[in-house]
Amino acid sequence: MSTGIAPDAPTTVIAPGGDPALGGDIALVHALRRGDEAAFADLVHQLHPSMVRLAQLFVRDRATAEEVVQEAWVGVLQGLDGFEGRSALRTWIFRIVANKARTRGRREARTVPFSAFATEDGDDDGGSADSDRFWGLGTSTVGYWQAPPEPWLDAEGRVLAAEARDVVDAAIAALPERQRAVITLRDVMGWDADEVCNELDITATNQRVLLHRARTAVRHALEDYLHAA
Amino acid sequence: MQPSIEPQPADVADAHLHGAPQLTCEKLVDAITDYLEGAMAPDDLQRLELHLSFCPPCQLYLDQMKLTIAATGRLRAADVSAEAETVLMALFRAWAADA
Repeated sequence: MSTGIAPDAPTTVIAPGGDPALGGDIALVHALRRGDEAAFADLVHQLHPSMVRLAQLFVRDRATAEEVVQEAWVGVLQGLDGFEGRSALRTWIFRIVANKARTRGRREARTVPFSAFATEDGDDDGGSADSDRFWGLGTSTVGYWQAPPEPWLDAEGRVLAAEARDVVDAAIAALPERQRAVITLRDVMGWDADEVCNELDITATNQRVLLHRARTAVRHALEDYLHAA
Repeated sequence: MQPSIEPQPADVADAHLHGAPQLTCEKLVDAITDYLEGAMAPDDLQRLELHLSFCPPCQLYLDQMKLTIAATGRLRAADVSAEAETVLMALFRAWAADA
């Protein structure tokens, strides 16, 4: 196995200060500037649904989120010449969406800085998420399962099927705002913990607590759905 | 309510292995996100993994949590409505013609 780089290896175009993985983004930006419709359509399919989800964290309803995202696409195209490849294209695009959505949400007087209501909406009520499922004090098995989880029959098939999507979607929509924001960014959109902490201006510990409560609630919804069926 | 019959799982005794304070199922469930996030202190991680190794219900809970995360990730691949796509493609054409 060769350990060095072959002298004739193709060189990747990397923006100064950029990441090698961003070479594809630079090529995509060039295609968009050339007016390549297929490239734009691909990008829309890849990012638009996540952009709408992101916008929905800041504005009143889905229709407003769609409007904000449309404005954001205009912003993306107009700003394309200024994209320097210092961050991933998707990160840059999401930043534009978040800024526009936040501005719009503020105009709707809806957006409150996330850290400003840390004790509201049941996010930090303490205690374990599923405490009634364990033996209580005064028993020799305190803290062990009283109502252990039951297997989900054909779990993979059913949990990952289209119908379960609606269950998950509804469970997330019903969460307190901060939990909804964290699970949307982390588990739906696939952001990493640091990105989420930065976007929502919360600590790493707080991020984990919110994520834990949100995931517990979604697991619970899936459990109810699978056992009811 | 006081339960009339208490289970005596063999694992309660096993939990005292190595003289470490036992980790209960409830504590494991509470720590499951920290575990999945790789945010546990080495000692706590060891106790959690020891508990998992002898507790099938907790293993099941962990598997279901992973499945929950996978199911949530499925929401990412949503469709773009034909209406939105038409509007966006028109925006793009106008922008490209202008440039």
